[in-house]
Amino acid sequence: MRTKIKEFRARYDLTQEDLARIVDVRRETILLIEKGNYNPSIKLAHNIAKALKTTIDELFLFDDQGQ
Amino acid sequence: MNEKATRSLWIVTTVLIAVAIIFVFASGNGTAIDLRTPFWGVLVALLGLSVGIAAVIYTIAYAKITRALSRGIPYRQTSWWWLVFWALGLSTFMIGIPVGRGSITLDLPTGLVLVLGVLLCSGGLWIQHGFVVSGRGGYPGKDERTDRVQGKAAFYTLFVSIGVIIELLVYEVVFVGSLSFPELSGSATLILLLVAIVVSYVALHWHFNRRGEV
Repeated sequence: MRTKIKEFRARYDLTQEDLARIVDVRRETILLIEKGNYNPSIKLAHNIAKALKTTIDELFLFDDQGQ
Repeated sequence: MNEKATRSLWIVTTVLIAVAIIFVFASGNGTAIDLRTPFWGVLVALLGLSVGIAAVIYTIAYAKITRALSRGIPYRQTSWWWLVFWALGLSTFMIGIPVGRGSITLDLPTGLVLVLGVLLCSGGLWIQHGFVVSGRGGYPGKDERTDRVQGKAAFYTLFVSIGVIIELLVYEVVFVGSLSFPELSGSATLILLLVAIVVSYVALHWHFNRRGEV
């Protein structure tokens, strides 16, 4: 699984810490999600998508989805 | 409170702990702590511990309330409370022991447990101090991933603990019973078990936390 969190963060000029604070998780968790090393719960994915004003589909890309 | 005040508080607490340890060891001239004798030290120590426990409960409740009311910066405030109550509870506890020193005598295992307790409390205080000073107190210290890490570490720690208990039983039955090895005292057994639980939990927590997926 890959994510576009980094791109969306850059769009809204948010650091990992800012995003972590908004969605109420540790910064390390955001880092691991960004790197594709951790699969968040649906609730957390929803919260991140909401914070970045997008949808889960836009934010998370699965290998069978392509680019 | 600013950084200077926090640092001063930490230093004062550490000095208090050091003084308390010196008092405790200086007064030790027997073999064990006799908890059956009521004395002021134990009463004050229990008061200190109660304050500490109350602080934990209060802080959790406080964090939940502030988080519910305003999502944003509640943790920084709770971090201050952690620091203040850690210091208060720990100081009261450590002052309480020398106050009742007339009734306290120490042996080596008891002294080690005491030192371990002080180190753990001081470590907690130091970590909390670091959070506050660095400004990281504004971030949540726990989330869904941390919950999983802690749960998994605790789950495997249970098996490690059972393993250690079985090993102790085997030692008692086979080595002591059949091979005449020295018998372990009750306090030594408890300390061994305590150390095994703490070390395995810390190690497992570190192991699961460094991996991405839990």
